[in-house]
Amino acid sequence: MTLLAPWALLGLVAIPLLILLDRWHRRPRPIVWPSLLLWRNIAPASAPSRRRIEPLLLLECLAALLLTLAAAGPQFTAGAASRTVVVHLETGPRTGAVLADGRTVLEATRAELDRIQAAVGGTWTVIEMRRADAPPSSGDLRILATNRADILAPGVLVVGRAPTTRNIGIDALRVEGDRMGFSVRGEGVVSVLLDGEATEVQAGTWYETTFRKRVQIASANCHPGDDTFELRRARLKVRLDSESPLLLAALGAGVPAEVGEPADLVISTTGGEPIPDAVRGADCAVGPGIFDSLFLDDCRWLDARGKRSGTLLRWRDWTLASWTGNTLWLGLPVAAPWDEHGTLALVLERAKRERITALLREGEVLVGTASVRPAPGFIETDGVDRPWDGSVPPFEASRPGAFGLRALLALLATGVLVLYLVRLRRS
Amino acid sequence: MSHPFDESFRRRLEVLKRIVARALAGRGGGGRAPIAERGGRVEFAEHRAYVSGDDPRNIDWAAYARLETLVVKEFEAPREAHLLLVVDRSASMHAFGKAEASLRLAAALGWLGLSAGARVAVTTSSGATRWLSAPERFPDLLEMLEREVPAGAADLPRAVERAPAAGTGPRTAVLIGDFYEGESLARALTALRRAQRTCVQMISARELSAPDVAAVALRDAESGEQIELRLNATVRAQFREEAERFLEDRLRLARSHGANFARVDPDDDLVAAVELTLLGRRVS
Repeated sequence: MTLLAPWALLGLVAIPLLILLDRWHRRPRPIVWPSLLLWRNIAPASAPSRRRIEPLLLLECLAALLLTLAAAGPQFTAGAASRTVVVHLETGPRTGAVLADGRTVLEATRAELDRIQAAVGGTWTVIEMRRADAPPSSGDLRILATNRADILAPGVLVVGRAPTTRNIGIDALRVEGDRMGFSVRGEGVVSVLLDGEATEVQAGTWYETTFRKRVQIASANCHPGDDTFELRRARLKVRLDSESPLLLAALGAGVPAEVGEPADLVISTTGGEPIPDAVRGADCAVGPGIFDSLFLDDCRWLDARGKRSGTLLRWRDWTLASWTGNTLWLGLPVAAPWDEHGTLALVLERAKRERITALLREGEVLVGTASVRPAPGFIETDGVDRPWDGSVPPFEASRPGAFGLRALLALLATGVLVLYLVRLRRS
Repeated sequence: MSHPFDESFRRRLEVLKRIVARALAGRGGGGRAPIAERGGRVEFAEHRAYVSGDDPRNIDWAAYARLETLVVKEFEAPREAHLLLVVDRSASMHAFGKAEASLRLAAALGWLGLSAGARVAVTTSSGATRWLSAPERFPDLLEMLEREVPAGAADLPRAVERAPAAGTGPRTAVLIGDFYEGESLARALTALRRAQRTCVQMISARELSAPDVAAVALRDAESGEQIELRLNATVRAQFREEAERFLEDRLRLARSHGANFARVDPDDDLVAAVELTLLGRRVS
């Protein structure tokens, strides 16, 4: 809770203002009256007193105080110490990139993690991963991986419980003209929808087919919206300036580069048929050290139910020089909502965005990122382009009960205001 | 504030003229008789031959039946009635337009009296006119009223003392004031016990309710005394009760002296105020 929040400050200023206004309002007004005859029997009991505090003023101040406290964001602090936090920390080769201050991405990440841990408290468990993509978590808490540590620099993702792996997804994907090749990561037989037709494929086997509209992968234990994706051929125009014949794309795993020559890659989404309610888009990756710049516009994703819509990311003219040698992951379902405290929160959007937002609000999930990025010109947050100024507000997560306390205080303030109005009417 | 005797006031007097005419013709409406007739009825004197222009209502048709010629009845001049207007010009009358309204009412009553052939005098605690006896002298009455500036404490007995001595005719006295000083009113009524008295309490509804502020420093217009009050709902209710008690007391006081009593709000229409005064009816 902080009283330095704008609304809280306003509330603090309001209280003395209310008192001053009350004093001003209750100052005796000089009036010449024809005769005091009728007032003489009244005067002794009702002479104004400087010390007297009017009940109405008390109610006004109480309401202002309650609203101020509500605006300050009260929290229960008792649960902080017992919180168990699980951190997925990428330690892959990409995190070895050296930043401007001489530290590696991993070192910066660890430093940021320590800072966040000191700020938030609780018991932390750090799970280090060689690759960026964290496994999907179990149960309803499906998220969560940074999966873009190379792009976003030290990426930290914290969940409230330990995740379990449900290893399913596209392992590799190749798009070449009308042809598409892919392999599925997972165990056993996996159901795949190709242009709306269901078929079963064996995990780890390379399949090639004619790609027309979309591919959807599901398995028996896959929650809707989890590890499903869509590619729309008409929406992806790939131009390789170097006439490179090959574009490699992969989902969920690094794919070795097969492009021999550096090239400019342009991916745009012009043309094609719009997909209603599309919210999830392509996962694709290009090999390391290949492209100097990349353009990806209007990356949309569609969940398995096709119920949601919205642009998650919009990247433009992204200079890739900083990531030479790294595998670049494009189009990962990553949203970057700003939490209520202004900290950039990066969430792999494998669960519904609303749910993640709710989790953030309830404090069960803490998501943060470091204050450094390898690409000074990187502009991207939650679909709204903003310049990166190098400063990130201190990480501060909301905690359980904050919303309830606010609501309680606001309710109390409302009650006080009602009481005030009743008294005002009676007076 | 507009001049109390401005053009609007004079137009209202024209209305009053018609009231007077109706009163003299015996059609003054219900209630009491007009001032000019209170001292005694107009007496028949003699017949004379009808000439063109005579009021046909004065033709004696019975005599015509007997004499077969038109004759009209002539009357004796009535004994001169006296109308004394006692006007409170104390400082308390300065508030809420009471002074201006009381001047207009007094002037209107004076006009009525003069038009009815009565002798009229105006008196206040600081001065008085002599008896005026013709409508042409109405400007003198106005001048007297205009000259008086509301100031000081209410002193109706002193105003009565200043009144010119009345003649032998019937006498009517109209006391106009807010009557905050009950003792002063009682003494004035006693001093005027031989006259037919009407008390006109000129009081505004605004002064009978507490000011619409949270706290007030009230200063007495006459004495300068000051009290500070917090005006909550309780105080307002108490004040209303005090005001009602005050009004009832003054009414009872006037009645106990055998006087008529009327209450007029300064915001009332002038004609209505005059009629209320003439009828001696209490205004709620």
